[in-house]
Amino acid sequence: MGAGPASADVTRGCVMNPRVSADLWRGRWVAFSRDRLAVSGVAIIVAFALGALLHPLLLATVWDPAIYHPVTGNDPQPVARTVVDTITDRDTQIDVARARLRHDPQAQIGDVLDVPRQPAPPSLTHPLGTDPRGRDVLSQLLFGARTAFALGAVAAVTTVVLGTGLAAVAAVRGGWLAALLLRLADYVLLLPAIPFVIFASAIVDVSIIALGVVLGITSGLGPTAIVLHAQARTIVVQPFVDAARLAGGGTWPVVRRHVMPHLAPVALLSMMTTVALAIGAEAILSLFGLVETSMSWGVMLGVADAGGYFADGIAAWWLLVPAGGAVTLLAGASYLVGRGFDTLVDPRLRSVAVER
Amino acid sequence: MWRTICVRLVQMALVLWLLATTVFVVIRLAPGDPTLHLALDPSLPPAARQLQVERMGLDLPLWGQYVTYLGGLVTGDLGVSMHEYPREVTDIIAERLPRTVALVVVATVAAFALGVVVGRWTAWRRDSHADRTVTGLLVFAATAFPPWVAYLMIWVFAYELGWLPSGRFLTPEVWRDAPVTVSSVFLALGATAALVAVGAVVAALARARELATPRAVVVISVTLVAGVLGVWAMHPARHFAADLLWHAMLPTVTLTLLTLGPAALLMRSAMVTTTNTDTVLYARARGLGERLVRNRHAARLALPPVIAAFALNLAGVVTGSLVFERVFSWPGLGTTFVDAAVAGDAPLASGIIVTYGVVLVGMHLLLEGAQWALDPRLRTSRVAAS
Repeated sequence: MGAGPASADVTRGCVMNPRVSADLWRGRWVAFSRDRLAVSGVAIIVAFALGALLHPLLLATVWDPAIYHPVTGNDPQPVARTVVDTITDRDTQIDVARARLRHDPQAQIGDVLDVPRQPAPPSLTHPLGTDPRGRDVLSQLLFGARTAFALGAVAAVTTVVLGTGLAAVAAVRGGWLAALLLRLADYVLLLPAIPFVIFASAIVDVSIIALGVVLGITSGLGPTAIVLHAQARTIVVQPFVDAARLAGGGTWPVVRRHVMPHLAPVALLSMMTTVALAIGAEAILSLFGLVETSMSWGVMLGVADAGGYFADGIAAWWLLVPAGGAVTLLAGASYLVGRGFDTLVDPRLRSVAVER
Repeated sequence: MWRTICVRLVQMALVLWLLATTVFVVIRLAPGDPTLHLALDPSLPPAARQLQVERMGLDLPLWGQYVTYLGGLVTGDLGVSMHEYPREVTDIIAERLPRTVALVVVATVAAFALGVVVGRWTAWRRDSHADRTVTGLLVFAATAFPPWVAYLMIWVFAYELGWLPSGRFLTPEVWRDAPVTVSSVFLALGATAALVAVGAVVAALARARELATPRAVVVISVTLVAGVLGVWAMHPARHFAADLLWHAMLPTVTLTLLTLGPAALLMRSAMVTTTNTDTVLYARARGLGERLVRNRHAARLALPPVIAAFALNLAGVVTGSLVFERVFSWPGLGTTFVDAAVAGDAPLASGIIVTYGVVLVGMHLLLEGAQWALDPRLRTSRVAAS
């Protein structure tokens, strides 16, 4: 808003009483904090965020980057194995053809070779083991959290900015502009987003940021805009909006001060849904190697998939459970937090215990 | 009403045009010349490369290529696949689409039928321990990483227990020198399933309208099902059909489980808002039994969003099956699409993405029609608004 005294006069009429605003948010926080599932969702997200922050610190202090770097690190952890003709014990023997091809062309039956153990199961030095290329899984997991948060943040910001902007403008201005924007939302809703990203990745390189922006646009201009518009329309007809307008508030100040605060919980719900969607989409695309990124949870699963470790069930569990579990947990936590926001908007959803 | 339908059709055509144009722009954004690898081959005469360039229409100006491309889409000529050269893209899509549709339709119907039952059960016991446990499990099922669940199912049922095949579409040994084609047997199976489904709907309608006694419905249904099964049991292609069904089992069950989570959660959250409505209060006040109140009143009010989600899930032919088919080596449209995208096969990938667009748009039209038919309020509000 302008700096001059005249514009300050105009906007004074539509300033929400700070005490009312604070009460609104405090009430919401109380209701939200009573939703145990939503709070545990927040706890999971915070835990992952701490892990993501911890990673560079660990790499700078206790972890030697040559061993622990999520992409370029390598710890061969050699094990002595006897070269034999036919294997009877997988842990101490290696068959002669493999030994000659992979380790020592002159290997003879009966020799003892130092063979790198990749992937290696969890140990004290590698709490979650190493991947098929000898890289520390825990380090990858923490680094992957950073990728997931970067992706989620880009997708979330894009969605919320586009969705609330479109919805608020359509609801407040109405007329041909609203019709145009809502038709646009209908179109975007019908475009197959994830196949489109896969298709685009075949032709141009798709980075994590680009993926976040694309998913944010398809969600923000599509479903989010439609849901937020429905909510915004119920807000703009409220008496307090009329009052703010009569007091001399312009379109934008009224939207910002009076419509936005009531739109926020729904916007946050859509945001969390988009984050969950983006994390899942990234994992799926990376599994097929369609995203240009050095390390993420999807890449971890892709490496395990390429090595055929999925078919081994839980034999190499440390390759599958941490990454798959992290995707599931973070997406699930986003969903639970979003559901908590939903409860704020619709008191009917609040559990009976809260109302009592 | 005809005006609404016409407007809708024009809008849908616009959506498809927008999608096709975006696809064209992305293909043109690709760096490099698609025929460059031909020029790099020293044994290839320049005339041959020139021929290829002309065949792909690359000698035309950009707008000329655009017009050719759109014209091809309208006439159903999507060009020739590079990855599966020299098959026509339309031919490949016609072969793969039914396989995906069958998988998704069966799994979605099963998942939503189960989901409505589970969702209404948990909503009715809201905030009890049973509700918390089941809802927690459902949230897990809804958010679990799909390929992970799929691999887990393969590991348990195909490797550890060895009950079912670990993917693939058929056993090659069984099909060697087969007198019938895979697609014809698959389509015949699909037609049988559709016939049974139509029979079930007719039976349900006859029951609802009280056109037939329960006993008559049961007798006629049993006779029909026995007849269909008998025809298949006598049919010379029964081994082949059995082989296809055998391979379809694990993917179908897994997709059903994955769809069940969101379906049941949606039913639950829709019904949680209907349990305290006046309609339900009135039904209770009339002294109706708890089960009747739940199934006939609270659950029915919650159905519209669930039906909408059902239709959109059917359109999951688009996204849901992408990873899923690949994990199970199910040769449907999703596997073909991912393979084409990885191989950089622009004609096939763009053809499939436009097919996806058509499926989505068609499903949306059907959904709107269904809602319009099911919910009279929509009709009146439309009139009032215009």
